[in-house]
Amino acid sequence: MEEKNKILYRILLGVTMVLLLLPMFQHVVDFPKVKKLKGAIEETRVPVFEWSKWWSGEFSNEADNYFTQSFGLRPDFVRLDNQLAYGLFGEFRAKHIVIGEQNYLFEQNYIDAYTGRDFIGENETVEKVRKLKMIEDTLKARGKDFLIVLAPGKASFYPEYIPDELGSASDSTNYIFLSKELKRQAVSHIDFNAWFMENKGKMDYPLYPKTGIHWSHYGMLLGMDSLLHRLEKNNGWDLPDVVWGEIEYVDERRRIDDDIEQALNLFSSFPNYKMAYPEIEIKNKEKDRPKMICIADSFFWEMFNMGMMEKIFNQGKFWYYFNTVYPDEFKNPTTTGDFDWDVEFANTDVFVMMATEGNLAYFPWGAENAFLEYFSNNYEFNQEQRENRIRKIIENIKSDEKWLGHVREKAKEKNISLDSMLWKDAEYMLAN
Amino acid sequence: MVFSSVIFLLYFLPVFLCLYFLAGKKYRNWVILLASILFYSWGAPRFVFILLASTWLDFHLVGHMYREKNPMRKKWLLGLSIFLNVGLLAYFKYANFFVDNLNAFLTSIGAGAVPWADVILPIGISFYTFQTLTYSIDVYRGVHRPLEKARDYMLYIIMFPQLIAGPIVRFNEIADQITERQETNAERLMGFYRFCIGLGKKVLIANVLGAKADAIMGMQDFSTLDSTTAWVGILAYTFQIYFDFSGYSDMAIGLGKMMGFRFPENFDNPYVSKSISEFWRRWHMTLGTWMRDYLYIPLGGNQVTVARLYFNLWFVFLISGLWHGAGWNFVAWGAYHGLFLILERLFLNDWLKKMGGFISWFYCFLVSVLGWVVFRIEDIGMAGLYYRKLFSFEFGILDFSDGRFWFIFSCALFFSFFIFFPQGKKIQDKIFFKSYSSRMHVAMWCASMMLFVFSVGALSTADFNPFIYFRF
Repeated sequence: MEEKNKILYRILLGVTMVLLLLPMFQHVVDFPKVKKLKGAIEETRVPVFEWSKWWSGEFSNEADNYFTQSFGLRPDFVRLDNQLAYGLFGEFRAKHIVIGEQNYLFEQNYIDAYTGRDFIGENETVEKVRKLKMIEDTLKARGKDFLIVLAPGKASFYPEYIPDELGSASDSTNYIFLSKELKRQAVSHIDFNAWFMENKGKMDYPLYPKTGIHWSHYGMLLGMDSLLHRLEKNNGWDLPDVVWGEIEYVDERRRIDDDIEQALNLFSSFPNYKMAYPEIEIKNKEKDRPKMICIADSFFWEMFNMGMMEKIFNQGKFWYYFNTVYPDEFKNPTTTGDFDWDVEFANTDVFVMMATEGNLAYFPWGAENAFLEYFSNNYEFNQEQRENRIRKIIENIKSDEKWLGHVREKAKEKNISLDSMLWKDAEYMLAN
Repeated sequence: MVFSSVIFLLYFLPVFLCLYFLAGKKYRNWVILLASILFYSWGAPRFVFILLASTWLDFHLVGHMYREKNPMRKKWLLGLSIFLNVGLLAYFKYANFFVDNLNAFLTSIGAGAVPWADVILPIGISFYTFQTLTYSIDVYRGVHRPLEKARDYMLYIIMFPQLIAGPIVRFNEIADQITERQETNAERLMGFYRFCIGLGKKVLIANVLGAKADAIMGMQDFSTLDSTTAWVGILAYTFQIYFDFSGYSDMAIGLGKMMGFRFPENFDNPYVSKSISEFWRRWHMTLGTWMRDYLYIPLGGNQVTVARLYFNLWFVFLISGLWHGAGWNFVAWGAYHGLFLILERLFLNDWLKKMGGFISWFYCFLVSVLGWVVFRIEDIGMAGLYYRKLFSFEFGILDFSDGRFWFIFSCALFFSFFIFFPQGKKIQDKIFFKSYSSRMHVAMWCASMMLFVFSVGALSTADFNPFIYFRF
């Protein structure tokens, strides 16, 4: 009996040691393979030993951080903890995720946007749109197209599933004021948020998934289609054709349709629901292939991943949050500042700025000021912009009979032509 | 390095245990010593040299003292050893406090402040100073011979399981185990189980309670706090500090056991106490017995006049408070406990006996809970405001939306008062103090592995993981 017990103790201790060593072993040899975690995860670098860093304690901090973020089998430990938290307390460890009624998943910033918690105010919105208008005028004066795209927002689309305690609809939201102001100042834009809300329940397939935060793959394709048609119409282009094939309507989630659920990193899955996946082919690539720069949030990713920038446009660029630039970033870290803007602006035919309601508070992430600063420092743009504005003032004068009569009298007094007088007056008004 | 960190649990510990188990018996102390130096220098590299130098010096000083025949010179050598150790503690832990207060006084009387650059506190200094003191004093008193090798003395002081936050292992309790100890696989397994229980207490319970306690008691302004929230905050802290500290002690005891050491117990269900004197026999027991044997008894203990007895009691608790931290709030906390000890001796004990068990328990629990306010909130003025909020009786709605907190809080309540149940004491004894049957080993192994895995899971997602007693 005693001998039997000793064998048992030896086995238990041996297994304990093996299990304790397993994560380190996995970390070193990367075996067994572990399914990676989903979502935005900060990569930590292997700390480099230096005596000075060790002495100051910096090395141990870096090493602690590195091992905590990268230890072997970590993804499974994270999933286990997430699963326990969700199973026992209905709690998500992933940050800022909200579980709504009937397991509809949201992100907090979308709800904040819908309830007006992140509202930046009317004045700031007006000013922002004024700058966008100036950008549009300047670009259009150079024969370049400019378009604002308001992507749909899940909180606006599915308000009935937002937990009551997180608030209700507000009249003062960034989306309401921005869309109103874009119309008032006549900035070229597409409002997909409004279109999605209007068509909710009217389409054959879901426009929004239950467990994803972005538009459904199907909804995105509709959006892409509208966007391309709009660009074709605005510019007289004939872009390559996006041909829709058979639509698979299946009881599973693919592509981005369960992106929040994936980011929860659970072992279990949410109950299945039907989503549509059309077959898409891009044909006639020999047609017009203008160059596009799209400054957007994550709502553009799925269009980008469909090959829109390379198959429809001519090596278009995705300036993600007006920061990192794709596809360049895939090869080397690249930001918008790494480019020669003279070349980029000269070669680009259309600029699109796109954001969903949850990101409108910061939209377009400083691009408006950077563009205007670039224009004001660039003589060619500046001169064109100036002349364009003078022409607008002249148009205003001409549309007002009384004012035009007054200018005509002044032209007679000075003995110059009416056109010269109009130009002079408009110049004076612009300067003052 | 802390026990409840990934780097310790999944890298340091497995490698250490492998090396330790594979090393021949005569090399095992070297393995522990080198691992301990790495462990300490990981978090506080600049202090490891002070620690090693001071222990080396102390070892030789005490060796001289032991060999010295002249009683007067022996006493001087003891004094020098105490001066060296207490001096280090005083400099590193209390110099800032002393200078800050001196400067406050000088400024108040219009004199210039003393220029001073703040001293950084070496981690665990309060614990290892008390251990070095027991070495000098135990050898002086003839309780035990000094160790023969400086390596063994350094091992006693710097041994990583108990270096940072105790338990305070007195020299005479461990001296023989350093040179000769019995190690069996059954004991090693039991050590592992104990370690996992401690890890679970710390990571799965204390951290969750701590997050709530910090959210409430760490507020910059208590003026908007209602009584309900204030009570939730202090109760969360009450159980956090217990599970945090006792969890650490369990981990230390368990690790010691895996190496064949038997460290003293440090906690015995303190919140079931029915008087403050009982509380101190159950809370941080190694500090309590250290204070009794190395301070209270040398001051005269009970063998003095009543007035002197009360003074001794209060003095010991003031020192105990100050040991916890260089701040007036810790002094106030010590004085507060000392006051209740004296009151109990004066009349409270008799009165409580008449009132029965529940009232006695309630009194003691309430006193200890209220004591934690001034312990947690360093600013005395803020602590005062917190007390006012506790008793303002402006109750708000109890927020049950944080399901995890309330579940863990219920677990903390259950385990804190576990031995109130008829079977509780039996189960506790069976788990912690009796040898196991093979079936019990398998059950405990499975439970321990689960705790270990859940704890690592929690650590892999959490960024809230401080040990409260590290700063003492």
